[in-house]
Amino acid sequence: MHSRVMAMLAFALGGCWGSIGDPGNTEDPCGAIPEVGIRRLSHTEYRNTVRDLFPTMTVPDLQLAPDPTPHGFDNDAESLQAAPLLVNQYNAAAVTLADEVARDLDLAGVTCQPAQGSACGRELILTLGTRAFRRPLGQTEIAAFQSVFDRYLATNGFSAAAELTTQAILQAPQFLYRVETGAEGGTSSNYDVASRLSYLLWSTMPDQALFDAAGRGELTTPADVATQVDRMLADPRALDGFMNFTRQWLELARIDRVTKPMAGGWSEDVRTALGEEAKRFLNEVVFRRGGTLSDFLLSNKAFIGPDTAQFYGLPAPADWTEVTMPPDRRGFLMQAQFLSANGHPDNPSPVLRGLFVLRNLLCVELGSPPAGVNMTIPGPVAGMPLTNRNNYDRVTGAELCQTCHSVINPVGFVFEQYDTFGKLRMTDNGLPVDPSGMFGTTTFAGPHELLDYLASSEEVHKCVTDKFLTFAIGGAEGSKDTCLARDVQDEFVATGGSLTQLMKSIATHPRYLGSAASKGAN
Amino acid sequence: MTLRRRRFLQAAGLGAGSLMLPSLWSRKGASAGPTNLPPARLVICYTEHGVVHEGWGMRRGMPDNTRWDYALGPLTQAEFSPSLRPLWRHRNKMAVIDGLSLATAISDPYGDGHAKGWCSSLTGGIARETIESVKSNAAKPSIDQVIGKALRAQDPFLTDLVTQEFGIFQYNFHAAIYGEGAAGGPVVRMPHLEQPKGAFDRLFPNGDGTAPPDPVRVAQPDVLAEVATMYDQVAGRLSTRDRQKLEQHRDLVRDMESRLRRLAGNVCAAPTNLADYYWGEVPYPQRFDEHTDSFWQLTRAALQCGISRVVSMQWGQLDVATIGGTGDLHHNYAHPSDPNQSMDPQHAMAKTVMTNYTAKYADYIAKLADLLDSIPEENGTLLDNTMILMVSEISHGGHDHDRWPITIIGGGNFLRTGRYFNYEKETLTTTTASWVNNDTKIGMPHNHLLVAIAQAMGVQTDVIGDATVRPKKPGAPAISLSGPLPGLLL
Repeated sequence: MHSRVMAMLAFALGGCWGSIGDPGNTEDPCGAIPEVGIRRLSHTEYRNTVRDLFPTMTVPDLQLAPDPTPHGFDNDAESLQAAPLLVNQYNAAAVTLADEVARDLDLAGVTCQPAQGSACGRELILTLGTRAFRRPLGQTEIAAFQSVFDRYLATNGFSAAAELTTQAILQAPQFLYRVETGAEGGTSSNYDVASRLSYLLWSTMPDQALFDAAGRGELTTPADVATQVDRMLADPRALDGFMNFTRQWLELARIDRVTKPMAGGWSEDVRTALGEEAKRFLNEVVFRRGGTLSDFLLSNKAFIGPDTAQFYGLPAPADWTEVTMPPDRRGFLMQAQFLSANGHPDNPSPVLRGLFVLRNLLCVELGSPPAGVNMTIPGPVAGMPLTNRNNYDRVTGAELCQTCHSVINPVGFVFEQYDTFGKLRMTDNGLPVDPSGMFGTTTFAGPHELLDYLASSEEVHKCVTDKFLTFAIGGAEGSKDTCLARDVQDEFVATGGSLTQLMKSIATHPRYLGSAASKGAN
Repeated sequence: MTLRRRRFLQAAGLGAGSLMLPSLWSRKGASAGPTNLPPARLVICYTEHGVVHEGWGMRRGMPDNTRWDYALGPLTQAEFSPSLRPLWRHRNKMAVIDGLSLATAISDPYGDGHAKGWCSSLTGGIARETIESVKSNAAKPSIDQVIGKALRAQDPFLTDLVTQEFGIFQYNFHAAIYGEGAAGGPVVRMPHLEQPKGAFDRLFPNGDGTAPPDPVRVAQPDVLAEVATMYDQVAGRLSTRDRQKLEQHRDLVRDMESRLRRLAGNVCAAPTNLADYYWGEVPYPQRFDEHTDSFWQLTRAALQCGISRVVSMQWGQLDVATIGGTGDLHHNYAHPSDPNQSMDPQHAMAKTVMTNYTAKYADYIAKLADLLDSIPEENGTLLDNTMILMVSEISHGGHDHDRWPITIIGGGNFLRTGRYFNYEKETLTTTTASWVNNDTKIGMPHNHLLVAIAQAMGVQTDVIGDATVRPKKPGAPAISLSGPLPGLLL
């Protein structure tokens, strides 16, 4: 069984366990740093960047067609291409934002007066353009925008000139894409590094301190970068970056789509509260306290609210409260958010729960079911008292199904002691619950043993690193840089699986900072 | 931007009376064909989960496995199938097509039935394999995009709005519309417009003509021209791959510039009183109903005014409570309605609910047909020149792709409408599944339907998607997918 799982892993993940370095490269054992190319801002990054570009503006809701997520994350460089509707939506957003700026230049950080005419236009271009492009503008760029401004100043007046120039800046490639200019010798420029750090750690544009550091050339040495990374991780925006990754890695949006019977205590308020419960746990236990992968999987700390206490058999508090959970609960996978999000209306889904663990913690990709198979949720069978587990065994028992379900089900079954809401249960359909399971050759008596296994597993540490690198690089290229992956994995393990340390390890790694993309744009 | 719950354009210039104006498609210089008759248009209405054939089909005791057709006109309303009964009033202008197969989806050894259908039903190809998300992308663009590109090449007056992509998605994001990616890059899933207000702004960039032109709006095409130049300047310094990305973006900016110049001052039959809600503002069924109605008004305007030739409307799952169910439509009703699940205790109820499901969408589509039929054109009505294609990604709740259900309303100037067509199983199966006999037959490949539609739209092609597909039977010749569906075109 173990070799079968590992064979699947090898097939599905390709380079995840590949040899270190490029065997054909005799000069550098790590080979060339993979180029990631230019990258359009993901919608998350775009919205955050607009927020920080106009910090005093009440930014309206900007409609953007959903970004594709081919590798589980919305910042995949290859997939983030222009499309007709999206280009129209960028235009609509630029029109909306520019209208606000034309009414109040302060929103763009401009202090000059319209009576100053063209000179004030230049201030707008330099102030807004530098921050929007995340680097100083080149002379050609300044001249192009000044030409736009002066033309409409002459024909339509200052306000229209400011509005139209702002529209142009907000639709320019230097704003919508991360285009790195590079430095002498093919390395990244200080401004490139500033953007890499800010989009990795904050999912937004650099702040003034980072701009200033880049301007002074203080993002060149590892020590300089480490100083900035420490500062950035202490900033509240680091939580944005962490949650941007975590929200996608842990499929937190799944809770918004599940259906549950009201009779079991479900309501829209409960749905919202479960989402909040997970966020509070991740924010506080895993991020703010510098939590480790073990804390994520094994901590007995959690936050319960008035609407979620019922799932744990705890008295409902008046407001959100940190609690020490009962012995039957440890970590994220034993919380109601995960358990209910990965369940069907009436019964828990060992398939969804098992797949989650395989896909997101063990990096095992099993693909989709073959065509024509019965995908009906197992329901009660007349005259046959069956547990949910028995039912899944029944409907996935065929040899064709077992190719994958022999791997999926034994992982998902360990959570069978929690019903579709995540409530603890000892019996199912009047029969005792069997929470035993298996992965590879390792057997588990129940969920605690699985969680202990995962928390100490090198594969899980590698998988989490791989997920974060995919997010950090902006695509599957992340895990192909085997030297970067090796170093980050080693440090992740050495630091006891600290997730914030993982962010720092990537952010400060020379191959991450130096893997300069296409050069140009100045 | 304080619009939240909106009923905008309460008193547009042309008002509701404009609906009865003749179509404004005819423009000087438009290449509407050698006879200068109105052009063909296409509306693709895409829903998920297929149909319950017992509630959809109308074979009326005729043999399943021979080719025949009959006139729908004499059927009474009661004789119409429950799923299609809302369309009975259009029976003389519709074609029901029974017995086709998605041979390309059947041939694809990977993925579940839904996913293969998303990638195959409107593209005529199979899914593009990726490592981690096997069924995430089609390998070919969908027919609407193929037609749009071909028509733009024929008619310089058409803009990037030659195709419009509308959608109402809430509980899922399973889309079947795919377009070409960056040059040399993979086909990508096309984004869709979910807010009617956004669609209106694209069609009528300077509003509805009731207010004087905004000078900033008027200047926008010139600004976009400047922006396009910036893309050129940046792209020139990049690698080939990156340059192609920016050039694609630049072309789209130029498209928008060109369209804004073309549509400046356009107030042709601007729709009024459109509903536009964000999620949560009103109950979901109300948003679903009213947004559908708004998108129909916009579809009518886009087609009537000659702005668009193809509109796609993709619906996510409607609220199951509106069709007699509770809980999760997909797993509680769609799957148990599978004809192979007759022993499932939910089967009978599931069939009823899923029959209602199709009928609900048929009712929406009947209202669009009403609207288009109310617009006179030189050779009939806008409906006579518009094919409304009702399509799904699978045949039924069992994820099958054989006996793929198709209904086309309108297009009587190009298609033999007012008829029920049945096609026999005459094609060797294309599946690679080991448990299927090599000599098993499936329905005529749906690529022929896509070709017929493309030809009706004036696109000179014999192939949409793949040109051939391999049968499972060793040694048997490749199955040709070229040529139009026999018997459908006039």
